[in-house]
Amino acid sequence: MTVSRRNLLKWAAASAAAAASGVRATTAPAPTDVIVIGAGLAGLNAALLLEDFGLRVRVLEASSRIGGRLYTLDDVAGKPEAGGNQIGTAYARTVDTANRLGLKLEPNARSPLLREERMVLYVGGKRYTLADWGNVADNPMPEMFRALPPDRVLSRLVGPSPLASVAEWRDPKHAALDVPVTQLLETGGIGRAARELLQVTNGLGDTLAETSLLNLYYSQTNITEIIKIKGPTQNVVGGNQRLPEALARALKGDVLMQQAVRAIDSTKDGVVVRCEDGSVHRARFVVCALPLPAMRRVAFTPALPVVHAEAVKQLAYGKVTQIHLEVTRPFWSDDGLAPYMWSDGPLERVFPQDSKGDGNPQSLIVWVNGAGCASWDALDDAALMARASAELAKVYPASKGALKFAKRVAWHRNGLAGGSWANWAPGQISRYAVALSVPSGRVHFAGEHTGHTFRGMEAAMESGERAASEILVRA
Amino acid sequence: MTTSDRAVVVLLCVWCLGASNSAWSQSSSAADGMVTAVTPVTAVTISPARLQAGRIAFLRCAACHSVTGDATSASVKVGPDLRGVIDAEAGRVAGFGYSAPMKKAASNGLRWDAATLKRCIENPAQIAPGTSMVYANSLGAEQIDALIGYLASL
Repeated sequence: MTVSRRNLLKWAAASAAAAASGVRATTAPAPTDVIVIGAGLAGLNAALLLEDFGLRVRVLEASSRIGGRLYTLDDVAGKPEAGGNQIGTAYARTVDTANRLGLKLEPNARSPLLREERMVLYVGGKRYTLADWGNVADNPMPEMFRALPPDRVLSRLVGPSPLASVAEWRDPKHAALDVPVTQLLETGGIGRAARELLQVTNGLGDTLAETSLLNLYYSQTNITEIIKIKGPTQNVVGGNQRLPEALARALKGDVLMQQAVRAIDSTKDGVVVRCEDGSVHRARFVVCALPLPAMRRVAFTPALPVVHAEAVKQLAYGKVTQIHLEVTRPFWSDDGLAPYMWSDGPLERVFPQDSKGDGNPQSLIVWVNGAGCASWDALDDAALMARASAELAKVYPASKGALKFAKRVAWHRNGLAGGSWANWAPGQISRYAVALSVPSGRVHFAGEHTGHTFRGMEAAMESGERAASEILVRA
Repeated sequence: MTTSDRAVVVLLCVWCLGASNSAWSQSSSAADGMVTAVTPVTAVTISPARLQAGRIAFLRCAACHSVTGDATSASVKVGPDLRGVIDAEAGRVAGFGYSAPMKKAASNGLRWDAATLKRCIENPAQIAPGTSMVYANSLGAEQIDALIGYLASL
C-alpha cells in the first residue's frame, strides 16, 4: 500500500492547505475493483484476500489509526490492550494470518496477582477477601455459589451452554433461548440483590434484562472452544494492533486515512462512495466493514432491506470505560492486597496490567461496563482521576499518590466504534443475525457483528474472508 | 497449474496404473488445449471456470487447511492437510490431533468421497457430531461441488 502514515501526513497537509485556502478537497481517484470501508481486521482481511486473487482494492478509514477495535496503547506503560486482547488458539484465521505475515504470537501472560484467591471484593462499602466473602451474611448469591468469585456466578446459574458449537449460534433451533437472561434467573428464584451483583461483570448488555440468554450461551461456548484444540489464548508480540498494521502494510492498494464515508450508491454497473471531505470513489464492489453505530451515518442508495436497516439502527453496542493508571509505587505490597478487585461500587473492576506475568504490573485498568459508565462519562480527565483515586483509596488506602492517570478509553463514546461489540438484545439474534451479512446490491458486509462462528477478532477475520469470497464469485 | 484457458480433467474411473507411467503426471494436448490432471484413483471433469470457482470456495477453508501435502503443516494450521483427501480414509494425516468424534468416525470406516465431503462441508456435525471442526457453511451446492473438484485436481 501507499504507507498509511505517509498517507495520513499527506492527507493532513492537504487538509491544512484546504482549510487555509477555504477550499474543500475534491479529488477524483481512479476507479478500482473494490472499496473496503474500515481498516480494522475485517476490512483489511477482505482487502488482502481480494488482492490475492488479483483484484485492485482501496481501503477507506475514517480515523487516523489502523486497527479499529484492536488498539494497543503504545503510549501507556506496559502497552495494555484497550481492544481485543485474547487470541484464541482456535481462532484459525487470526492465527494463520499472523503467521503468514511473520508476526509472533505468545501466550497471554498469567499474572500471579490475578489468581482467583487473590481477588479483593468491595461490596456495600465493605472490603472482603474471596475466602471471607463466602461467609458474609449480606452475600446475596444462591447458597451453592456463595463462595465463588461473583464474576463466575452468572455462567454457573444459567448452566452449561446447550450450543454444541459456536457454529450453531444463529441456528433457529436455539431461538427459544433468545430471551432475557432475567427470565431464567427469576424462574430460578434469583433475587434482585444477587441480580444487581451479577450485572457488574455482564459485558453483554447494559442490564441483564437487555441481555439475551442465547448471546450469553454463545459467549460461553466461544470461551470454551477458543482454547479447546490448542490451549491457552495468545497475543501478538508487541501488541495485537500489530496484526491489522501488518495486514495494511501487505496491501498493494492504498489505505486512505481520515476518509469518513457518508454515502454509498450501488447501481447496476458499480458503486459510488462519497466521503465527508467531498472525495468520491468509484468501484465495482464495496465491502462495508463498519461497526453498526458508524454505519448509521452512511446513507445507502438504494436503501438497505427493511430488516437490515432496522438492525443497523437497533443493535446496541457494549458500553465500556477503561481508566488506565500507571503505577508509580507498587502500593499493594503495603496493603497486602492484590490490585485485582471486583466491586458493586463505581470502579466495578480493577485488573493489573502485568504484561510480563511476573507480578510487577506497570499499570492498572479500571474496567466499567454498561450503565455504570454514565457516571464517569460526565467527568473530564482531571475529575475522573480525582474520583478514581478517591474510590481506590477506600479499598486500598496505600494507593494514595501511587497511581498516575494515563488514559481513558470509552469505546461507546468513540463515534467510529460506538461501543465494544454488538450486544445482541433478546430477540435480536433471531431477527437480525442472518440479515446483517446478506449483501445488498454491490455492497457486501463484514465486521465482528457479521461473523458466523466465533466471536470477536475471529468473527471479524471470518467475515472479511466471507465478504471477499462473495465478491470473488461475482467479480 | 494455471488453467485459466484450459480444461482440466481428473479421471473419474480407477486409473489403470499399469497402462501408463504418466498416470501421476499431467499431460497436455496442444491440439485441443485440454489438460488432463491425473490422480491415481478418481476423477471428475472440471472446466476452468469451475476450477476457479473451487479455488475461490477453498478460500473459506485455507486458514485451517493446507493443501501442500506437507505433514508439518499440521503443527501450524488448526485442521489437517487436504491434499489427496478425495477418496482417502478419514483420519489419515499422520501426527494430526484429530478430535475423538473424528477418530471414531474414521474407525467406523469413514471415507472422504464426494458425498461425505459434501455433507461435512454443509455441516461437519453431520459427519462427526462433536468434531472440533468449527465451520458454518455459506457455500452453495455448486460452490461445494467446485470445491470438491478443486481438491480432486490437486
